[in-house]
Amino acid sequence: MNAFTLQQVSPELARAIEYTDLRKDITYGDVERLCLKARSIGCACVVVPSILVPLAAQYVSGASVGVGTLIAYPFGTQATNVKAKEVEVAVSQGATEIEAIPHYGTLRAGQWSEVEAELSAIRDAAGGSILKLVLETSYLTADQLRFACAIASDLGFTYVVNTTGFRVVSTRPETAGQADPQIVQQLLEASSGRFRVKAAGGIENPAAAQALLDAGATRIAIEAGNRSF
Amino acid sequence: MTNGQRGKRGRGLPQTAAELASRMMTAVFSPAATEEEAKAFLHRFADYPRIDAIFVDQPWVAMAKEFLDPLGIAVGVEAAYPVGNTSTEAKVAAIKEGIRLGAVEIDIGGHFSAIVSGDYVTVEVDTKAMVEAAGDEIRLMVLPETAILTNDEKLRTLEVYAEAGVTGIKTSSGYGWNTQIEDVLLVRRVFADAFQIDVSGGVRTLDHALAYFDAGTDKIHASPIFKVLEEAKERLS
Repeated sequence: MNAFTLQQVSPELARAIEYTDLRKDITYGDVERLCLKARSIGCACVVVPSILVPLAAQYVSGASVGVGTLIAYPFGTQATNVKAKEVEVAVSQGATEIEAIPHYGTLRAGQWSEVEAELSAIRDAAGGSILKLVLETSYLTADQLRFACAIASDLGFTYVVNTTGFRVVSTRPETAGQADPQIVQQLLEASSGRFRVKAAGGIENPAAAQALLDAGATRIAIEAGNRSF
Repeated sequence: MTNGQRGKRGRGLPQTAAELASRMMTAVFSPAATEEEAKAFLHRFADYPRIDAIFVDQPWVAMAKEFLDPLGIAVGVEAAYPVGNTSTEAKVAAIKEGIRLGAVEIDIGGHFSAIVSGDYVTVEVDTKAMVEAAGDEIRLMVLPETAILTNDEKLRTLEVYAEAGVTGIKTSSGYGWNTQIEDVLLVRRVFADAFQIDVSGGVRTLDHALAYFDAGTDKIHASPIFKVLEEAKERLS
């Protein structure tokens, strides 16, 4: 039951949409449909898993639709050099927007120089692509959000994303992050206005998307298919 | 109940609590736990019979080894897990990093998108790259994710895996993608002992664990690990 029909989307909202399909069982056909729909309504970008970046780049070729991917999705548990490799390959295959998932363990332990080293390596591998920092907002303190945003912003990241939208605890689906206007405001405050905010997670209809835009988000992740895990 | 009963393969049912523990695994990942919580979790294993392996974030491998090496518990890492569809190059890099860090096992997602798109040529390319990167320096367990595949997809995928040199699979990754007992029976029936079969997802109690072992499972990954170990201590010798 997907209440989000893209035909009903206003041009303003369309330009903010990152049309996203990160499902495990995404088919090549799903990528094609995702890209064609994104082109037809003029979305900001599509977001696909890194192994499907070449396919998506092919389908959006010639349109002003970007190709986004997430690095170390969904938990950010890989070592820095592994993340840098994923970035480098994705960019070489046509990714224009990179969403980096930091190592939360390092971040939550307040090891800021290590957080900086990781994000810096990702930035260096990204070759000028748009950089987004994904934070599992509800698992981080206000201070952790603020420090992480400051570090990333200094390194040239331009967006902060409130969640991957994937469940954090294996047995508890409800631990998947959800977008809401309050979180958008919280992230805008944490970044002292230096970041733009991408809202992600469970955005089910145009009214919810509009509320997030009204709260100050400039990108909205809309999930294709909307199948629940 | 012994090995091979009713024609099944694998190692059969564990006879003692210690043997059961030696075929159990669990994990602690950083989004759900802080480093202090992770350490406290690892410390608890000093009071239990040795389990096979605990999976941690790559940046936590050194910390985990410090606690677990003396207990004889292997440290594992994951990649393309639990969702998969990570680029082959990144997975190869993760395997090499796992080796460098001294991890004993890496559990890694297959190319699910290629499987469900019927593109087995790409499945083969992706799988061969992982097998080659692992060599014999790390235990490579590939996840076909049987929970979301048709029987035909499962068998075709495993044929490709076997051909590419995969010797161990973890049927599913958990996170709602739970292994069915039927999947273990199917793989054993068709592939006999070609694969070590580990399962993940849905094992909440000792009875669950015993049922999966009885079906031919080699090792089980369970998040409620202490509950299973406690029950085993009470009920097995």
